[in-house]
Amino acid sequence: MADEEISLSIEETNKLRISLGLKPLSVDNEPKKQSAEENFEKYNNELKKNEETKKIQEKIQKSRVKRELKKKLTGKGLGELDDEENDDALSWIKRQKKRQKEIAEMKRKELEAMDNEVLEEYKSENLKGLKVGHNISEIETGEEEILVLKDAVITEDDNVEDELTSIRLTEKEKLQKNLELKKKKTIYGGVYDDEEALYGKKKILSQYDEDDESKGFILNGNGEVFDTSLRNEEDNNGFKKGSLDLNYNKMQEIKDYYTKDEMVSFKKPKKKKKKKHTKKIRLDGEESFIDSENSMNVGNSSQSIEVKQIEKYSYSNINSNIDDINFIDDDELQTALSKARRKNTKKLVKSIRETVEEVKQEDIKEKKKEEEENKDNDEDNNISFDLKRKEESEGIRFINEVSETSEFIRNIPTLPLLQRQNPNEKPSNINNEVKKEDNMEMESVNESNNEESKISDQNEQELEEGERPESEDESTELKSNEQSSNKGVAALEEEPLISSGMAATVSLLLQKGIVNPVTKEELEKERLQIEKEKWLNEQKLNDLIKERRRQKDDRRDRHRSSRDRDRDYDRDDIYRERERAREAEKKFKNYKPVVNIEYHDEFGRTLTQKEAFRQLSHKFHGKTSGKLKTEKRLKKLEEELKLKQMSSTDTPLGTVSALQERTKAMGSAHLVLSIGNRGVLPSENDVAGLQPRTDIKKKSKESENNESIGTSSIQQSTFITTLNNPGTANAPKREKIAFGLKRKAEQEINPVFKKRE
Amino acid sequence: MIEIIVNDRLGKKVRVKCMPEDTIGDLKKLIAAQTGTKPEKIILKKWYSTYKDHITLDDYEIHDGMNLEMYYS
Repeated sequence: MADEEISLSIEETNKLRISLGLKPLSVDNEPKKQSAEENFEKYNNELKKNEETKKIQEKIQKSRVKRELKKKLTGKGLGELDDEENDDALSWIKRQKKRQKEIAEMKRKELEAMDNEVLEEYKSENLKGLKVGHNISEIETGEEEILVLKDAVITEDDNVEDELTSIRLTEKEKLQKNLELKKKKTIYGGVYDDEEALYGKKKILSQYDEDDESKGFILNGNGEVFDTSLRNEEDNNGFKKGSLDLNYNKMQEIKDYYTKDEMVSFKKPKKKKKKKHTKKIRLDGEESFIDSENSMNVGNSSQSIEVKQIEKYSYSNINSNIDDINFIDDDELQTALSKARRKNTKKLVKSIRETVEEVKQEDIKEKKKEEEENKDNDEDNNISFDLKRKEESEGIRFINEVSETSEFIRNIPTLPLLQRQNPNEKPSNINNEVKKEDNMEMESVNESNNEESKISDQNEQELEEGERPESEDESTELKSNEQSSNKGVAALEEEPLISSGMAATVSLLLQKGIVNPVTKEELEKERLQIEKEKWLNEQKLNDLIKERRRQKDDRRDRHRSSRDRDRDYDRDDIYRERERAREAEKKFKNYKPVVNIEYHDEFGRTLTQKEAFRQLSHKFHGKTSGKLKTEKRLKKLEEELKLKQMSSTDTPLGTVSALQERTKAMGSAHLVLSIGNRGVLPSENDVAGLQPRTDIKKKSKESENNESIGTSSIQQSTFITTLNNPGTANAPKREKIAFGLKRKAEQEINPVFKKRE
Repeated sequence: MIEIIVNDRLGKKVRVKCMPEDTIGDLKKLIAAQTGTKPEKIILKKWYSTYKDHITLDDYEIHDGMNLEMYYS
């Protein structure tokens, strides 16, 4: 290819340009070059100038230095002569003497000054403000003590004051300290140190603190002393000993939880008055309690059941103050609650059914009481006042007894599980209630409490007596009453009577939870199933019709000629094809298949989703789990299979069925397992020989008798006994015999055996 | 005067002397005169930017000794 460049010379291009109507090339590079040269020259000139100036400056510098040097050298040289002085030895000596005098004078003055300074230093005034690092008591009176400046690090701050110490005294102190250390005081002594008791608070690990004693005194200029240590001690002792905070926080917030300290200030002494009224309940002595209730003037009977449950909830402040507060604005509620609580205590003895009834009764009573109260309000207040007071006193105590259990009991009737065995009971009870209600209304209001307790007594009696026969009229009347009274109260649901029909039965079963109601999904499934069947039927029908039609056509076709037929076929084929497609489309219009994909493994087990995925992934990757893993899995499967196969009535080895078979074959109720010491079973002939038939019969008879006596519930089971030589003369051996009875039965049977023997 | 080298990579490499004030159209005419192709058929490019006829070389900042790509439409 080559890089041959096509290029024209300037002249040629100029020609070309002119021919194209462009201006010719201007080849003017000169001005540029000129300027560059000029610039270069300028630059060079500048450089030269700079150099020159530098040279000049250096010269100037040199000359200056020279001048200075010469200045120093002015004056006489050693060799030169003084102008004034003669060169005599005499004059020189004179001069020397003069000089010596001058020097002496100077030294003298210096020494004098120094002496003056030293003399000034040590006066008692100079000691003013200096600190002595000892207690003044340590320095004994009348004795001389040499005090020295204490060692201190010089380089540190100069602010540290100088301190005077006596070497003797410091030594003494050190010795004492060492001695004390040798004594080995126990640092961690008792629970409380005296110090702690005194000052309330102790420093943490104070024994390791460096005792930073600020003992010592400061010297006054006049030889007097300011004792600092004394002052310090005063500071320590004067104030802090046993100080108490007298501040009392009146506006303390009421919190749910208090610390112990807070509780101390919070607690108030309980009033004794309250204790007089409270009696502890006798939970175990239920009978006696009821008796007392019966016999007592019942106005206070309910009070006697004050249960001291308060103690249980000591962790919250709920109960802390409530005793003093009067909560009662709803007396009926309080009494009702008290009733509930009383029932609660009784519930240990009573069955659930009974409790349910009682709660119902309570509800009714509540209603009744409300009515009564309304009446009260209508009547004069004087009568109700003392009643109210009474109730108040009750209510105060009962307010605390709303416990979870009582609430639970109250809620019981809503639970569907409880079955009432005798449906007659309910109406009868209610009858009683209503009767009483009537009575109550006639009676004075003062005895309402009385009445209540009576009612409860009566209820108990009823429970003992069972149901009373009631007249029809009454019951109907009462039913209406009951409905009115039970409105809004959660009671037992109505039970449909089975005798009324199948629907009622089913509904009953549904209610009891024996039959589960049909879920939506199930309904949906059923519907789909039906639809599918319908669809299939339709398809079959359609197919049949089509088949018929075709047959007809065929028959018709037979009459025509073969050529016509061929032609028709061509035309019909298209038509038929189209029709078939349409039909197929129509067919599947309503087609809704229920798809349920199941996977099976090589053993035919249905796989779970997880297992199925495992299989799939193994197939996909062409790789299964290793030998050990597969073995493990197989083993697990096998165990599962065994577990499934195992019957619930038999052992895995099928011993029970074996035993049954054996006994059947032998015609005996027992089986010989071993004879004597030999753990071997003798041959069947031997056994037959050894065991006379009569004996067995006798045994069976006995067992039959026993069964008839008492253990009818015991059916088929086994027990093994060892009998001593049961009637066989030639076999002095002990036999283990398996019988078709239970061990429990055996105990009951034993006395019978004895009797017979 | 500047010199521009124009290369279609098919065997033609032209060295053109021109002025920076010339337009691309003029340059194309010069190239056409040297290579013997019609100037309308020449497309001048540098990478992906196609040069337009009415703009001068100066504006395109085409300097002395630059290489341009030549294509034919």
